[in-house]
Amino acid sequence: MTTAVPRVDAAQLAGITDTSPVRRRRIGATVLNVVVALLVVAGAVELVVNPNFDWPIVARYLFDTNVLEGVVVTLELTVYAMAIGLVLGVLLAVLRQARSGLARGVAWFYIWFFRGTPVLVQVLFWGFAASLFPRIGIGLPGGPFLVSWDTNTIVPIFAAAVLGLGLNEAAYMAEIVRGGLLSVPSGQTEAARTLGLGHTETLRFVILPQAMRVIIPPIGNQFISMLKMTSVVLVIGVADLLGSVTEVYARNYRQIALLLVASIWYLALTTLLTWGQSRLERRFGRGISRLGDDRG
Amino acid sequence: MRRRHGKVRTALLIGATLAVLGTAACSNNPDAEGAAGAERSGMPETPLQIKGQKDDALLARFPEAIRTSGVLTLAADPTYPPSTFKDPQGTIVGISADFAAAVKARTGLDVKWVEVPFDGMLAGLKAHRFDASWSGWNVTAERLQVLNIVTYMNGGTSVLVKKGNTAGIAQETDLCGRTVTAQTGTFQAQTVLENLQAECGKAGRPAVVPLLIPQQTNVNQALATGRADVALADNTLVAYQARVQPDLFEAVPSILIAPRRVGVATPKDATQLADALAATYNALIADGTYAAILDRWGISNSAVAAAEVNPLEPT
Amino acid sequence: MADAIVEVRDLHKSFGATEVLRGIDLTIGRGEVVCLLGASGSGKSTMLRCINHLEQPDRGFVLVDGMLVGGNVRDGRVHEAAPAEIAERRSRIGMVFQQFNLFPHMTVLDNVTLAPVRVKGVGRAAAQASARALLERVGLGAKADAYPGQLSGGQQQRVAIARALAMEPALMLFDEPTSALDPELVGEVLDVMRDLAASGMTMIVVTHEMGFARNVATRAVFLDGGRIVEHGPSEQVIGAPTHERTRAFLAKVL
Repeated sequence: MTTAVPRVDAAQLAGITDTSPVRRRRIGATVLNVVVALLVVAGAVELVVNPNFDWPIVARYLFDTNVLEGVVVTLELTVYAMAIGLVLGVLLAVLRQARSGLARGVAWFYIWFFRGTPVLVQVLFWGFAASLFPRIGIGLPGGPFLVSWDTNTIVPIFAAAVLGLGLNEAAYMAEIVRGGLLSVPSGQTEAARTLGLGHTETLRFVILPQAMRVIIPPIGNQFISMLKMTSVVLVIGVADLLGSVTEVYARNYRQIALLLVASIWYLALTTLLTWGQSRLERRFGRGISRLGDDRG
Repeated sequence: MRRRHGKVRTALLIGATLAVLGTAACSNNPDAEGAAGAERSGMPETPLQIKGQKDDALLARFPEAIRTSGVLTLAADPTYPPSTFKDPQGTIVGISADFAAAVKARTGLDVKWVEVPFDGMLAGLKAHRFDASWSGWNVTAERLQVLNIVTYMNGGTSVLVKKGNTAGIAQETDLCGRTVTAQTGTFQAQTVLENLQAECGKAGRPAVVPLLIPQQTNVNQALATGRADVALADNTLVAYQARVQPDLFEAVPSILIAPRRVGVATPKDATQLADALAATYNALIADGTYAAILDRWGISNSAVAAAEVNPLEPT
Repeated sequence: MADAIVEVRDLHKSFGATEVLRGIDLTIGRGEVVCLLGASGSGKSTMLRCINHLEQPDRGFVLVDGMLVGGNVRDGRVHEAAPAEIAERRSRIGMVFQQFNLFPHMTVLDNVTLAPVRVKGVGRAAAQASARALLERVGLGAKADAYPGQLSGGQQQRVAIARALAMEPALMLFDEPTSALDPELVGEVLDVMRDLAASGMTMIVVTHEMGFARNVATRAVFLDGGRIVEHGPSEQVIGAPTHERTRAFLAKVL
């Protein structure tokens, strides 16, 4: 048994005055839009009206000196850690493709180890490294140091935080960069080599610029993640944004208001980073995004 | 074709060898051994003895909501021996736990622990997430504006240093110019350090370098690894650490900063609960359980004659 | 041969368990245009890639203009050359690929000037001037500032030829240069290659374009199963093949 499909008869066809289609009215979607709009308005009103949000306190502490200092520390940690992560990550990614089995093995081990342990543990290790290695130096096994330095002096607490975050980040970056390098077709390397370009020149002028287009979005993601991840450095006593805010609310008990202050700052910085990322994507997308666009 | 010896391989081999030699040399250093050191057990030798029976009159003093639910919800940051910490099985133990058990025995109320980092307790009390905080709260005028504190012990701030006291700390002004570590949110982190800074300023000495860390365990670690010269904490904790890890730490007995009473904290509006708790503590003092607990932990000299609600103390 | 520019001796190459080249001997003179013919899997691309050391032979060697691209002879053995040496020798051999392999993130002009500037140290202005001349020669002078993605396949391949020529090679290798092109674009590329041949460039071309092989190439070499089955003047090999397998292959292709 078949359902009757309405057929268009000749009279109807002749009676059509305008062949352009009339858009179907989507009732369900309209209802949904109204409901969502109402919820948004309700939420906004609640934000404004509810006294527990303590907006006056938020306003007062938003630009408080301690909070601002915390913001600066968070930014510094993010930038330094990402710098280390990126440079070391590229090096590790290149090592992973090296001819030497030892080089490949070292790179693999590094990535496995630093991705496999929590960043909090790594930060704690660098912060309290002196408990394992009171002095760092070069010497003979079982014998005295030829030259050595006090660990706490060589690795001050801020440096320990940057190292803990940066070395961990390098492991993740290495995989992102490696993915980007692999995304460049092997024909590009072959063409560069046949022209006489050496290994470094090929990487620098041909491979890496093309890999960047694939690498930038995940790196942007990592950057934004790092911004929040820096808060783990609390545990070794570095006063980042979250740490500064914690000290304030431990004193004045306005926990929600101060956490809102921190959240607003994190959101603002994240927005800034997102904008920066889109700029970078546009710059590296030059030429490559056109591949296939203008072609039939 | 015969393979050419890779340059990269050689360089890495040299680097790896140096690294191994370096760390081997480090780990052969005898000082590193001391960090692991001999640790004595922190648990008291005598078992907890609670004298006295369940007293309905005491129970009647507690707020109705608590009597109905039959549960007293207590916040604790179990990283602070001997006040509140965990035994190897993970159970919360310490002076606080003993008193909680005693309160339970005397009132019939069940005790439920909520673990909260110390820096979040003030906010948590205000938000009524728990009935009371059982950590030893130092009394300050500032705190009394937002909390009730039921004092049951004499306390104060002591100074913990690394074994050997190489910095030669003997009096408060010796702390000027030093790196001083304390737990975030504590009386030491806030009031004591502030006053210390003011003192150092007045004496024309260099400022104290504060190192605030959220967990007391890491505060101890900071001192042990030399990140800080000195740790400030409640006198009971300092004495405990010096006793339990004598190869690592020592207390500076000549310094007792800001001696004052310490107690249990409740939200400001929970006056009935505060009074009930004070009455219970006084009952424990009367029947001798109080003295037994303090004696068990070796802090009998911190005893007070009676528990009070919000007594006045110097700032 | 009087002026041999390429000498292949006893070339063997396996990929894993598969032996692709089973002993190739071939000599190519300066100015010759040689076509490599054969079915897929016959080893013609592999042989081409051994010439500029993109593939490393298991046994045997290839001499280009008297030099071993991938090695140095010492004590009766062939020792693997240093990467820098290989790069330098490769720069004297130009190669054009089936997939063009232009650098998509650079303009056409930059594609052509990259190697002369970075490898030979030519000044930027001089390199650009030569590049424009080369692009004119392949008929793409107006496209110097375009990106490869904006060009048709035929145009891209012509740029690739210009790019290879910018290094002033002594020898040009072509690996199926028109196989990836739409039929109507093949002609423009073959025209450029014909001009190149006429100018005296030595060329080795792997191709299926029989018209080109017959009319432009001086010699044709037919490979089958990793061995050279037949070779000789292209007119003769393609027009009147002597070997059974050559005939069978050509019957399918022509």
